[in-house]
Amino acid sequence: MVRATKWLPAAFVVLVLTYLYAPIAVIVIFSFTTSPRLSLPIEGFTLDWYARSLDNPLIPIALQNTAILALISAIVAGLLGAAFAFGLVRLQHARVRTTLLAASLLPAIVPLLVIGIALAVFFRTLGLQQGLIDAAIGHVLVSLPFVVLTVNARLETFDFSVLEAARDLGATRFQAFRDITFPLIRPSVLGAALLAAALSLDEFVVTWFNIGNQQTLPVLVWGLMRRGIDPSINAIATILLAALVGLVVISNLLNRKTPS
Amino acid sequence: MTAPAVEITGVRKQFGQATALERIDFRVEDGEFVSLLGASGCGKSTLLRIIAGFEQASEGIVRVYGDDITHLPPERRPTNLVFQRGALFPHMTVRENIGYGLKLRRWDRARLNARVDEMLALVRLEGLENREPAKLSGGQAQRVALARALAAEPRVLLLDEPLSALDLKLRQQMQLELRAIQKRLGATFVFVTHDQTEALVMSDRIAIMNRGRIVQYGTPREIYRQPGSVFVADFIGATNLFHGTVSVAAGRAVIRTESGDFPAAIPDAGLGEGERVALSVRPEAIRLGRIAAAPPESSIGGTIHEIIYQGNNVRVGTRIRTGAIVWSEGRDEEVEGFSTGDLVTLSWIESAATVMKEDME
Repeated sequence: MVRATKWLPAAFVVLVLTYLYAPIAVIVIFSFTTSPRLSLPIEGFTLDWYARSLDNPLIPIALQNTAILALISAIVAGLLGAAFAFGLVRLQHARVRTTLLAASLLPAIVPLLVIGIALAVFFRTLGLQQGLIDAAIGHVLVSLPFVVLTVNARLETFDFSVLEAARDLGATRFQAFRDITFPLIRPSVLGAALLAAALSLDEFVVTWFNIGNQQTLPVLVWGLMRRGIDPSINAIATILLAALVGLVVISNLLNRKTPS
Repeated sequence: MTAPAVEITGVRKQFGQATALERIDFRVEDGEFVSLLGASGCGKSTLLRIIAGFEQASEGIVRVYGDDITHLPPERRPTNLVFQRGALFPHMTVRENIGYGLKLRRWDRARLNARVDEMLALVRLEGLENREPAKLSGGQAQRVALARALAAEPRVLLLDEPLSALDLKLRQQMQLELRAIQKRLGATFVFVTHDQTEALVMSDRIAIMNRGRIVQYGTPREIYRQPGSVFVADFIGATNLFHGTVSVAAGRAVIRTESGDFPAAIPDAGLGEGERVALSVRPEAIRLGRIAAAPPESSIGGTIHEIIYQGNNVRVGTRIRTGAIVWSEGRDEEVEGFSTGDLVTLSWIESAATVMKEDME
């Protein structure tokens, strides 16, 4: 009995973590195995699937589009979100501030399906062709709340009296921003931008409704999946996973290093 | 004659419906150390921020050495401010912090470094120039903030409760240090504080503020000895207040109170007979004695209610006939032999009592 109470919680934790990570681990492992089928035992390891996946002529285009969208998300959502958060914290009324913050975060919990369809309908009414631009607008929209949230969290602990100190010592508004504000918030804005890039990287639903006949990596994978599971998909998914994890880790590190 | 260092004329400040300052007129002379003293919300910080340029006066003029600076932005004012919590730039070293204002003024490197070294010596922080602000103690951080504000030799230094976050011992030490630096530089300091002891210790003159007005402006001694109102008497140090009316008997003014009649000099302010006034007597001016056969002129009998030992001083609370407690304070040996419940006489000399008109509020 005593033993059971000791290892049961541990077993439970292991079970939950297995549930969370087993599918991902399977994909990563089988992206390196020689067997074309997902089967055990593993016969040997190879990088063939990576080579094969890059052979697909659509892959470079999809990769390029994905990179473009991620870059646009990072820059546009990063700047817009940071500027918005900055305006937000300077508001005097706490009620107005929290209401506006909540309003800006709401799209993060609106189902992506709804956002995707709404955007598609909206762009059609405007007479805008489906394509990369539509998708980019969608990506910025989807990642913006997360940028606002991240930068806002940083600014809530930001000591604004340092800006007054700079002005007092002779800095113009611009000099105070250049010498004080920007260096202090740069890590968290950069971190938020990387988060936006990460969100854009694997965005599927909104993209699919708005990108028309263009490809991104997730859209391409979805297309390939319809023709059956091919180990080269594992390879693509693993590449995507590595990129994502990398971005999120760097983003977190940047936010943590911020001096307060 | 030189123009006053700071001259505030008819400055009002309105925040929406609320009035933070009502028609302030205020002068600080060259080389003076002046404190703005008041409870939180009295407008002292607002007044300081109007001088620094972070708030705009709704009305009135702010002059520094004769120049009208009312509408100048903070970066173009000949004043510098030491912030309550230092407001050091966290991403810069101590040296970079102190030199920032000079860098903006495009001082060349050699001159700038020499000046920063001079400032470090002034605030006794030599050797810490490459520290980051996060690695400084509270006292060190405030010294850096002071050095940074003084580096460009402002014509007037403004200080917004810079010592309030420090513990008592360090605060007392910094008070004396700040005062010494001010005297050495011959600079003009305007210091905001809510701590009356701090103001008394450091200032040449103190402006006491209440509800957006300066209620009294004078030297620490004037403020302490001749409070102009019940508010000031009560705010600066402990005091005993007796409320009553003025009457004249045998050509001498006497204040009639519930506790007795006390002779007192009537200030020139023109307080006539029957006027409602308050009589303030400081605890240290009250002598504690055994019941005397013929009590002196100003005396009250009572029973000792409480004796509080404070080390060098002893405070004694005596309950008088009206039920009120009158506090007296003396050295330990003066109070020796008294204990709670003793019948005593409290007495003071006439000149120790200050008469003031009852406050309107």
